[in-house]
Amino acid sequence: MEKLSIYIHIPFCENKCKYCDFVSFACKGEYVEKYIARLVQEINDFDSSGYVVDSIFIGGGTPTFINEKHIASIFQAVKGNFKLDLKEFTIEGNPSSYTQEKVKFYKELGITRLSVGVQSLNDKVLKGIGRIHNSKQACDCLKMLVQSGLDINCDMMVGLPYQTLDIVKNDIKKVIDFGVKSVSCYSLILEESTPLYDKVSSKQLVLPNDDLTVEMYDIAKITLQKSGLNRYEVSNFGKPCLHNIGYWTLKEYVGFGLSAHSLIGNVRYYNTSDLAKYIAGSSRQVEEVLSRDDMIAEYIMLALRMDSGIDIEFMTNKFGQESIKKLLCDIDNDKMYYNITDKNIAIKDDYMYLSNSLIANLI
Amino acid sequence: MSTRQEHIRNFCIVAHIDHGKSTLADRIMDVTETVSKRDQKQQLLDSMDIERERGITIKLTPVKMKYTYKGEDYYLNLIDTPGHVDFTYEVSRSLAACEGAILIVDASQGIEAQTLTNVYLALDNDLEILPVINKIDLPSARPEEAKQEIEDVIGLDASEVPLVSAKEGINIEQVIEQVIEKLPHPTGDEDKPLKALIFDSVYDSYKGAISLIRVVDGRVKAGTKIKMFATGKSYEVTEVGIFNPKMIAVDELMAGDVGYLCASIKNVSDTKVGDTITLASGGITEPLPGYKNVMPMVYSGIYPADGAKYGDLKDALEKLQLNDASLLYEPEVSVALGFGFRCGFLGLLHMEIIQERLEREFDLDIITTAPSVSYHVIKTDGSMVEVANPTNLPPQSEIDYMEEPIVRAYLYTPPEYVGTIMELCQDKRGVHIDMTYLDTTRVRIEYEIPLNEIVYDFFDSLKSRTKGYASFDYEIAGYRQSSLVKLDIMLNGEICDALSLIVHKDKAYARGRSIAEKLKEVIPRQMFEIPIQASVGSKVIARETVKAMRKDVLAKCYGGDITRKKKLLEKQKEGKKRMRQVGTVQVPSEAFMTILKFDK
Repeated sequence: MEKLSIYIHIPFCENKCKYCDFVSFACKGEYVEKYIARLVQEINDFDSSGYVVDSIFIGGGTPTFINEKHIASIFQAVKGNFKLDLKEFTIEGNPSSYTQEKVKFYKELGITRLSVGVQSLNDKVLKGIGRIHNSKQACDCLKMLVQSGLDINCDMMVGLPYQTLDIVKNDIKKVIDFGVKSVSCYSLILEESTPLYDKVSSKQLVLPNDDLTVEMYDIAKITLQKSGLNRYEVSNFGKPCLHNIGYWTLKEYVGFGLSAHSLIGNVRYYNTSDLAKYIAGSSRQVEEVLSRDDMIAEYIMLALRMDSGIDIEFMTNKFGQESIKKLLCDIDNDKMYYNITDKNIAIKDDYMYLSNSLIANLI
Repeated sequence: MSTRQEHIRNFCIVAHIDHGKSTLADRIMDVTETVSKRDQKQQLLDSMDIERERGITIKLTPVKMKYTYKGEDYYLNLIDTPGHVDFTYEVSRSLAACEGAILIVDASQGIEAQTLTNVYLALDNDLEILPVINKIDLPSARPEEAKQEIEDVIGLDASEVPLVSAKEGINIEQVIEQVIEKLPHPTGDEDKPLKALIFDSVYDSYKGAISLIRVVDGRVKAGTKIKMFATGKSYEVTEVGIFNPKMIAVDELMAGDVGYLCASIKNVSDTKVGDTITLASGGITEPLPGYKNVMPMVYSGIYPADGAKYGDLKDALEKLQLNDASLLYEPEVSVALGFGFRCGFLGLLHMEIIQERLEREFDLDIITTAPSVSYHVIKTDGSMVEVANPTNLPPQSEIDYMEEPIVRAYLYTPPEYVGTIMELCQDKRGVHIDMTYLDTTRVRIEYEIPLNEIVYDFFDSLKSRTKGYASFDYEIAGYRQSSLVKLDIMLNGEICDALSLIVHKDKAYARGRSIAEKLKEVIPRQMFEIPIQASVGSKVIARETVKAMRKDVLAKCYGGDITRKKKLLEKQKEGKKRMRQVGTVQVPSEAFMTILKFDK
């Protein structure tokens, strides 16, 4: 039996954030029913033979925004079609849509991990990026989530308008004080075609420069590590998320829903990002058939994002001794930026935030 | 001497850029019905795109026209001339093919820099000059003042000068009639051995190198065995013909005629402009005077932006040279830029044209190094070497002294810009020679300026200081001893050869600082800190630092992002290909061009 992760995309939000370029729509309540019906059908149609599912991730969008009964019907469909041996089951949401009732419902359904997009605990910063919650709502939510006894992951961001080093440090401290054991810390990526991009282009908003952003990230990192939340990937701290680790170790996964991607065997698939087409029954398209070299390149690219880096034993078993030899040879010029042991090849802590430049030399 | 020649007029038109030379040529062709209206494109004689865009003529196209005057048929050969100082030698050769020249004077601008240069050239070639005042249709036209200028500045009788508007087609017949009345006809001897002047050559992929010729004496037709004086090579003529303005084969060209000659010549460098053609046996022994081997004045390295395109660049230069014997190039290797070519040009415009044609016509991405001139380096052992590439400068200890080329610059300007122009010329190490008020609105200033200052940013500075009102001409005035030093640029401690320059020692500090500042802007931050240093010898005179990069990761990388992330990384990798490795530092192609940019 091959282990499989399932990703389910819920493309609905109460409101679209100013920096967001993910496939999601503000409200569109009228589509939700139809969307869920199509999603269930897609799950049922998947040939699940030979797979056992050990992780589910319901992401978005804001999955906690839709009625919890829809989450239940999605899970029923998964249970009906797949053999389950769940180690982790995550749902994503934002502070304004998590409620006591919903959390209780999720827990009873078997969800083990709640992820919440807090981003900042400073009202001015939150307003700058168009989040609908304020600092108080976020704090109340975190308190409530931690009390549920489930694993809580909190998404935070650096490099935001109005943000300062002190704000970042205080925010992270507060999150830790609430008892959160897993934190993702991203730096803002300004994407074209977002309202934030326009505001920055027209100089209505000013972003911290790269140097300051890195300092913010560093201060977040240090604050988290002092409290025992160690980094295990460029942006992730504390208790590792099995689902994400799957992505970074070439584990097979299937994505259901709008614009969801899948990796099955050596083939990457994608779903349409056109909501009407998806609901009308558009099926999964082949995006790319990965050659052995592609797989090696992807593994290198993804594994080097993790503090543990490339697992030499894993890579040898999967791609042979030669692949390691070639990698070491390619790395030779940049050796000073790596920690190389018998077991792992990893980018040094200080250079983690420059991993693109290093990885670009390898693929 | 035959009556045939009495019915031929060979003439050219000389004018300052923009005074309407090509338009007048077009109108003359209209009146003589040389080109049917249907075939007319604006400014027929300028055939290259770049010529039409810039309003300048680079390649010469002669045209043969027929005009009936007082009941007799006349054949008028109009030879177009390049309108730019870079091509002075070509101009002189095409003038040598004529007996007379129409001088266009702009009714509102009056006589300008190039007008005079060309007038002197025409006089040097013993041409009869026929002044014409153009653009009389413009509201600002001052024909009486222009007439006065012709009499005062050039010393020609202006009483019968035709007042024309080439644009509106006014008084064109009068110009043609004066050409017939006032310009002398050729007086060659058809029975003497062949003596013909090559005033230009073009390359045709079917016919090979085609010589544009003026037959002075004798005759030539298909089958004639000819010899070139400059190369000593012999050929059998395959075709002769005239231009109408398309090439039309004819049986024979005779003394006084202008036309073309094909002889299966593979390379334009074998049909040298200014050379004399005679018979392979029994020919003349003395060539026509005035031939010279043109020497480039400005040099620059040209490299492919993508090192793998070296072969394409070589092919492109070969093709350009087929049509342009004055373009010289030889392979050169730079540590920073890899394989490329050191190219020699007649001047800055010529250089720009070649660079532009490489990019436009051959679709090449090129890196050009700062333009340089050719220095005379006198070594301590008394020997002299010419150095056009700063990298080839001998070690300081072997140099006794150096000489640099100096130009005599003529600047024409409205009086209000005299101050700023003189300031500019002083700043460029110019020596003031003379200043003349041509009239109340225009001044001619004469300076001697080192050519290496001109090739840097002189044109741009002049343009910006005078809002484009000043014009400028120069001629080479010789070499002069000068305190020159080699300015090196070091990136992370290593000299980048492609950025080295030879400058006057008083300029080294300012140039060094400005280059270091510009490089700081264009070199992207890398994994480590990069010191940029400008140095003369072992002395560092300027320093800037590119700080180490701090961040380049993409925040998230989950299921759907993997493909996108991979594409981004691949793009980053592609970007790296366009970078040049200088020691440990990645330098983008545009960094090499930034040192060419004009300093405000």
